[in-house]
Amino acid sequence: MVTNSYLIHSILPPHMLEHIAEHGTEAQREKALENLSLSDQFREDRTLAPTTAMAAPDAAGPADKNRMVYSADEGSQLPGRLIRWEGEPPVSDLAVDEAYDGAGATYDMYWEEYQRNSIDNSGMDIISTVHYKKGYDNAFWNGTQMVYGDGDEDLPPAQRLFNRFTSAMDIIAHELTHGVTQYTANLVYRNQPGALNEAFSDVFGVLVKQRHLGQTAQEADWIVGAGLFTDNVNGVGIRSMANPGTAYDDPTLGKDPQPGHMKDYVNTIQDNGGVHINSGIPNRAFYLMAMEMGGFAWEKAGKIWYITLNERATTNTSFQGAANLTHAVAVDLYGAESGEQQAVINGWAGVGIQVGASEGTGCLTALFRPRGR
Amino acid sequence: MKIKLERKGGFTGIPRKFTLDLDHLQAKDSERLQTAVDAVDFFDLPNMIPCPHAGADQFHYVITIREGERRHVVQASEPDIPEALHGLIDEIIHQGREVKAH
Repeated sequence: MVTNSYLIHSILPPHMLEHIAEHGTEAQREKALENLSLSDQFREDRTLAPTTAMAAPDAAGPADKNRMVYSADEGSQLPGRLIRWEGEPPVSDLAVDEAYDGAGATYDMYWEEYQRNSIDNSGMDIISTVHYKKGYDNAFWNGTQMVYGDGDEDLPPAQRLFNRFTSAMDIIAHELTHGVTQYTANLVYRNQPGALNEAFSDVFGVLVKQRHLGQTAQEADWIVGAGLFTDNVNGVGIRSMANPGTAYDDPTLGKDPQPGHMKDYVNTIQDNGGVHINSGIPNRAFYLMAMEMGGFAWEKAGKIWYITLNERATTNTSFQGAANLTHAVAVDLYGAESGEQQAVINGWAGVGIQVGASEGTGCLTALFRPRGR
Repeated sequence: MKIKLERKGGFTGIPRKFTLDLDHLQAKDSERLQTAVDAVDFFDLPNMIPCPHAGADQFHYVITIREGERRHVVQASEPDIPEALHGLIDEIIHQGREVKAH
């Protein structure tokens, strides 16, 4: 939605408080940190309401795949002009067809593997808009639909850094999964719960791609956004789930900042508390347990994480909470002595998290814990 | 006039910074930027343009413009960015990308 009015709310948004907390005077910083704590509570209260209101029925009902792909025609009005809808043949627009096919592959995995009927589990229309703005290097979920830019395709090839964002199927599945998360755990988009929100999107993003390609855990590259960079960038993709922090190292874009272990957890107020940074930790935990379980990763590890997201996690689940919950689900599904539950323990231990430990205070602990502890 | 735009967040999480000095741009490019700055009444905008928090992977922008003795900073997050400010952001990024690539 685009508005021409300036919305002034009674509470400052977190990124502005974060900026003050980082750049303000001592008094301003103190006040901003106090307000950040209050606003966290405010958002938690607020996000609980839509979760309840949007709660999906227990029974999924019959499959109801209904994709609608629009074009913003390089503008910013959403959803834009309807180009292709469910059952229509391909059109002469690659981004439209990629968005359609990627949404289909994602719907199919959720339905056929986990019996989830679309984003809300009630057959919600899957709405995508492509060609959003001009030279737009991003894809996002806006709360109701997915939006994709064309990257740098408006520049001469020698100057391009990003290809169009529909070109990688896992990006489409990543964005659609943000919608699934919104209708399930509704993980708050900040600090550890926010990084978990990102990790769930990366996990189901790569699983959709692996399933589409018929790859086992051992055969997959575990790269998020492979093919998104042009050849002008020194990188294999946006994030590496196997080796966080190694996906790119480029003079223009910098180096991949992701940690792969709690000892390297990045305390920051940027990026909503590092949601795209610290997601490397749960990402690697998933990779480790999927590799130990072997076979197709969506069948066991993916199922454990899906049930955790759908039934167990809540708005403020921390990394430790996710470890404990995924282990409990593994025990429920496969037994207390099973290899699967041991793989979950080993996966989290590989990133410095011991299953069964206390959850602590979650996001506040993460925000203020000194680096390296 | 000197313009700096910092872009954070997004699917990639890769922060970008674009800086432009209108004194060092071609006249037509400088005029386009000046028009975009004037169209949004940039120096009269509030420092912070809040928006309801919904969705994920959206961009956050910090725009700083210096002109003579004046300096003004505006922060805004997608999706609820005023249309005119969209235009200024796009113009800065388009020209900044090309400067960076040269």
